Amino acid sequence: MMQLKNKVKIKVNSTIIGTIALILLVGIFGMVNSSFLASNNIGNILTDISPLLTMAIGVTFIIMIGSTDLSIGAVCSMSSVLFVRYAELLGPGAYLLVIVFGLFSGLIVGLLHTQFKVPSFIASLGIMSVWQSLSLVFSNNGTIQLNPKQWYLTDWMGSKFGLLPIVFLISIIVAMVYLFLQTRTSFGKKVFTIGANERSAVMSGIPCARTKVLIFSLAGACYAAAGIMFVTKLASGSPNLGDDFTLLAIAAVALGGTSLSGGRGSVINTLIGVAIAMVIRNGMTVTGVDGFWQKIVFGSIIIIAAYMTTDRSNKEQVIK
Amino acid sequence: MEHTTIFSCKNITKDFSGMRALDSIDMDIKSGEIVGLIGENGAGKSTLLKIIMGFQPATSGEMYMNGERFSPAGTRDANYKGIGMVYQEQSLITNLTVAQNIYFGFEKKFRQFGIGVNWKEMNEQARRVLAEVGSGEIAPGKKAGELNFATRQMVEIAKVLNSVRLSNADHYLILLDEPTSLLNDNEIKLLFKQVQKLKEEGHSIVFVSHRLDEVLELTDRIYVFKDGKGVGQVETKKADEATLYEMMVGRSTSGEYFKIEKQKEPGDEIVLEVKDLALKGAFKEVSFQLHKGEAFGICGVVGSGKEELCSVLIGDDKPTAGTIWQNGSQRKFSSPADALKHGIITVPKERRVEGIVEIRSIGDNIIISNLDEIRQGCYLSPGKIKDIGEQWIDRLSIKCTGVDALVQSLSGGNAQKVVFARALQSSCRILILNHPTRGVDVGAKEEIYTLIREITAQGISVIVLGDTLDECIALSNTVMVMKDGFVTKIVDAPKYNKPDQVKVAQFMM
Amino acid sequence: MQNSSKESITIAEEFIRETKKQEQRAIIMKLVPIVLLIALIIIFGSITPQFLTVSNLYSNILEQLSILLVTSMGTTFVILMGGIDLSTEGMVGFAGCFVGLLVQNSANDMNLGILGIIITILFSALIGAGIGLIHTKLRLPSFIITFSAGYIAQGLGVLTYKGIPAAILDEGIRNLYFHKIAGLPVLTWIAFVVFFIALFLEKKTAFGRYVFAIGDNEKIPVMSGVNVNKVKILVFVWTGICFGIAGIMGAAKLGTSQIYIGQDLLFPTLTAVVVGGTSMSGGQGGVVNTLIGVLIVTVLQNGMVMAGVPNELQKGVQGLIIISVIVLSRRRSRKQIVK
Repeated sequence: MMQLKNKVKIKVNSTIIGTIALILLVGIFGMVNSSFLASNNIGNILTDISPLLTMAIGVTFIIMIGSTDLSIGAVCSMSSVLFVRYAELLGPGAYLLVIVFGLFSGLIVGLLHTQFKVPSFIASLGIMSVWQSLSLVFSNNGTIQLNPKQWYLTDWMGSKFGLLPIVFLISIIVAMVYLFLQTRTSFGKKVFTIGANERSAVMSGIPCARTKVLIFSLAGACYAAAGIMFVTKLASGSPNLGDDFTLLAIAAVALGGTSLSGGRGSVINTLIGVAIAMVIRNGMTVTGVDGFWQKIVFGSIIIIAAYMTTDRSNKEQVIK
Repeated sequence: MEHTTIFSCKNITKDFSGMRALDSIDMDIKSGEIVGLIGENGAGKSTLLKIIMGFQPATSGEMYMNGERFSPAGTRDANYKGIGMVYQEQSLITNLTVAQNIYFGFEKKFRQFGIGVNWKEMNEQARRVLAEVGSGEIAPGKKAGELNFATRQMVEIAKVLNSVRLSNADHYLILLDEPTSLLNDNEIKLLFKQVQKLKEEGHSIVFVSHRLDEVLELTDRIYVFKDGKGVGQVETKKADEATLYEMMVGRSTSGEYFKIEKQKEPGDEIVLEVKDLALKGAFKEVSFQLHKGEAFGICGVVGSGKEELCSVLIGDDKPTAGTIWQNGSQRKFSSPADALKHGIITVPKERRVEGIVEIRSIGDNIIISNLDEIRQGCYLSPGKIKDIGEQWIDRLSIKCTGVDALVQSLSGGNAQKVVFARALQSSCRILILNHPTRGVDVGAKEEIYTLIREITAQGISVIVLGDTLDECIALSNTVMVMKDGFVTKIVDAPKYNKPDQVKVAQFMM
Repeated sequence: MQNSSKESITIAEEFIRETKKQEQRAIIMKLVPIVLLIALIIIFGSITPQFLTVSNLYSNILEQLSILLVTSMGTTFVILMGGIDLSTEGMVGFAGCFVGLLVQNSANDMNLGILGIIITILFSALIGAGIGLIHTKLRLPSFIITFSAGYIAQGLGVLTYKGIPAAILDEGIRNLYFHKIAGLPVLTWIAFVVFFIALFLEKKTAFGRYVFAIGDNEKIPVMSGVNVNKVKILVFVWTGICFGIAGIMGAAKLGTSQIYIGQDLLFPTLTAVVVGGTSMSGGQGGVVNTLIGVLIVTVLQNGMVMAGVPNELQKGVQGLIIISVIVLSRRRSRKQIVK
C-alpha cells in the first residue's frame, strides 16, 4: 500500500514540478533580462513554440510505446522544402502533398519496425538520412524562398486571432486532438498498454502492429505540419531547418515527465515540457548565451530525464 | 571405497513473495554416489539446484560442502567449493571455440604479451581436459556453434570439471539438469559412461530428469520432491517406476477442494477441432476435439509440447503442419488479436510478464480485450470502464482499493482474477487457461476452481494446463497426455470416475 | 530406452537442422561483403574507366578511408557487444577542436606537440569512460546515452573555439597529412596501425572474447563471474580513443580545429560496420568484417563521385544500405519484442 501511495505521489508530482519549474524559469530569465517578458516577445515565443509543440506532440505517443523517432527534424525540413517548391504548381494542394508525405514517412518507419523487426531508432535513423539527402536535392542545396505570389498560402496562419497567433492555435488543436485520443478512445488505451507491457498487450488480443504503424504515421503528419509552420514564419524552406529539433522534441517530451521506457506519460506532460524547453532556449538567446550551449544543455537533459523516468525495477533485464 | 558425506543441506526453505517453493529440504550426498532427483514441474528441483549454485539464497536452512558450511553468492563461489552444474539451457558462447568456452573466465592462466592470451597453450590444455572426459576427439579450436548438441554437452561437462578444479577439493559435486533430453541412445550411453567414470573417481553427481527409466538405470539413490517438499528417498535397487510415480504425483486432495461436485458434462457441439497439428521442434500429429462447455485438460512434463500447442491455438505461433477447424471453417490465426476475433483468448502462464499490465489500473486491464464492443463510435467512456470494472470486482471478489488501483498493488490471486475478468469480458467462447492457479494463494485457488466450473456451465469451452497432475485431472472432462511432442493418451475424466493419477503419469514420462 | 522411439525426434531433429542453418548462414555472412566489394569495383570500373586506375584505387581510396577506418574500429566493438554508438560526429569533432588548442596554433600560446596529442586521446578516452559508466551504472540504453553525448560533445567542441576556428601551425601534425610514405599519407598508416591493434584486441585478448560473449548472450558471462560492466566501460573507452585519434587525424587534414571535422562520419561508420557483416544484434562479426565494410563504403563514395552522382545522395544511399542489410539479415525470433 505504501508503495502505491508513493507511486501516485510521483505521478502527480511530475506535473506539479514541471509547472513550478516553468514559472521559476520564466521568473529567472525575466529578472536577468527584462525584455524577455515584453509582450511582443511573448507573441514571438508563441509563434516559435508552435512547430516544436506540434513535433513534440507527435513523438509523444511514439515515446509512450517505448520507441523512438530520430527522423523528426528531417521530415520537418523535407516538408518545408516540398511545400515551397510545389507551392506554385499545386497552390493549396501543397498542404495535401506535404501532409501525405509526413504520413508516408511515418508509415515506412512503422512498417520497417513492425514487419521487419527493425528497431525504431535504426529505422528512423535510416529514413532520416534518405530525407536529408532528398531535401538537399529538392532544394538545390540551399534555402528556397517562397514566391511572394504564394504567400497567401501561409499568411492566414501567420495572422492573429485576438492575442494568439493562428499557428499556435493550430498546434494547440493538434494537442487537444491527441489528448482526446489519449484519454477518450480505444486507440489511447492501446498506446498505453503497448508501452506498459507489449507482451501482455499481444496476449490480450491488441493488434499491436496496426496500432504502431498508425502511431508513427500520425507522428509523421505532425512533423510535416511543423515544417509548414516554419514556412509560415520564414517564407522559405530549407534542408536543415529541422536539424536541431529532433534533439529538442525528444528533450521536451522527456522534460515533461513522460517516461522514455514507455507506458507512462501524457500529452499534458509534453505541453509543459515544450514550454520549459522553449523558455530555456529563448531565455538563453535573449540573455546572450551562445548557441552551442543549447546542445550541451538539452543533451544533458535527456540523460537526466531518461535516468529519472526509466523503469529499472526489473534487475534481470539486459540493457543494450 | 570409504564413502564420506561430501554435501548435505538441512531445512532448506525458499519463499517467493508469499509462495513457498521449498519446504525444509534435507539432503545428504556421499562421495562416489550418483543421486537422482525427480518430481513434477514446480516440485522444487530447479529451485534447489539454483540455491546450491548460488543463483539465489535460501530463505532459511544450511548447506555444507566437504564439512564446511557455505552459502554461495554466485556460481564462482560454488565452483570454489567444488560444485558445478551443467544447465538444461546450454551455456556455451557460439562464436567462441571449444577451448575458449571451457576456460571462459579463466584466461589469466594463459597470459601472453601482457594482455594477450596464448590460445595454443589453451588448446593443448583443453585437449587434455576433453580427453579426461572421454571426448579427446573434439577439436579444441572449433567454434562451439558448429557442434551438435551431444558434443556441446561433452564440452559443457569439460567446462564444469575445469571450473570445479578451482576448489582443489578431493571430491566434486556435479549437478546435471535434464542432460538427456536431446541425446540419442548412443550419446546417452556415452554420457552414462562418463558419469560412471566420475563416480569411480570418488566424485558425486546429482541427476535431475523426468525420464524415470534412465534414473533407475544410472543412480544409486533417488530423492523425490513433491510440491516443494521432500517426500522421501529410495535406494534405486529397491525402486521401480510405479512406486516412483506414486511418490511423485500421488495426492489425496479432496475432490471438494477442486469443486468436482460442480463439474458438468459437456455438450455435443464441437467448437474446435485440431487435426494433425504440428509445430517444428515442439510437437507433431496432435489431434483432438473440443466440445461446447467442455473442460479439456492437457498434461505433460516440460518438453512435452503442451505449452507450444497452446501458443499455436491462441495464434501466438504459426503451426508448420496440420489444421485447426472452428464451426466447420478452417482457421489460420496470424496473431492473438486474430484469434480473439474468433472468440479464443488465453489466461497466460507468466502473469507478470504477459498476463497483466502492472502499471495500469484494474479497470484498464479488464476492458483491454473488449475495446471494440465498449466504445460508442470513437468515444470510449471512462464511466463505462468504471462500471464494468466494478462489476467484475464484485463478481469475482477482487480485493482492492477500487477500480483505479494499479494492478501491481494486488496479491497474486487477485491479479489473476483481473486476468480472468479480462478474458471473460471479451465474450470469448474458448478460453485457454495456462497454469491458472500458479502463484495464487489457497483461498483464491478455490474461487478460481469454482469460477472455472461456472464458466463451463455457461457454455464456454476451456482448455486447461494444470499446475499439478491432480489439478488437471480434477478440473477436466477429458484429459490429453503429451510426451516429447506427441499425444500419448486421451482419457475421459467424468465426475464420478476420475482416472488414477499414477496411471496417467505413466503416459507423461 | 525411450529415445529410440519417435518421441524425441521432433525436438532433436529441429536442433540439428537449426545448427546446420546457422553454419550456412555464417558462411554466407563471410562471403557476401567480399562479393559485394568486388561487384562494386567492377560496376564502377565499367561506368568510369578512371576508377580502375592505380592512382585512384591506391592513392585516393586508401587515403580516403583512413579516418573512417579508425572510427569504425571503435564502433565495431560497441556493435559486437549488442549496443550502438551515435556519438561519432560529436566525439570526433570535439577531439579535433581540443587538440587544436593544445598544439601550436593561431589562437593561443600552447605548443604541446606530442603531449597535446596524448592529452587529447586520454581526454577522449575519459569521455568514453563516462559514457560507459552512465550506460552501466544508470542502466540507460546505449542509443540514448550516445545520442545525447554526441550533442554534448558537439557543444563542448564549439565551446573550445567560440566561433573562430584556430589554424593549426604545428608542422608535425600537419605533416601527418602532407608527408607520404610509399605514396600514402602517414594518416593512412596510422589507420592501419589502429586496425592491427583492434585485431589484436579482438582475437588475442580475453577482452575480445568477453565482448563476443556479452553480445551473444549476456547472462552467460555474468554467470561465469566475468565483470561485464567493466568490459562494457572498456569498450566505450576504446571507442573514445578511436574517436580521439580520428579527430586528430581530421584536424591534421583540415588544418584548422573546428567542429566540422566530425561531420558526416556517423552514417559511413555505421554502414561500414553493418555492411561488413557485424550483426546489430551482437556476438557476430569482427574488425576484419569491418575492414571490408570500410572498403565497400569508401569505394561506393568514391565511385559515386566519379560517376557524377550528386554528393547530397551519399547519406541517403548509406541509410538505405543500413536498413536493407538489417532487414535481410534479421534472425530475430517472431515473438521477440523490439522497441
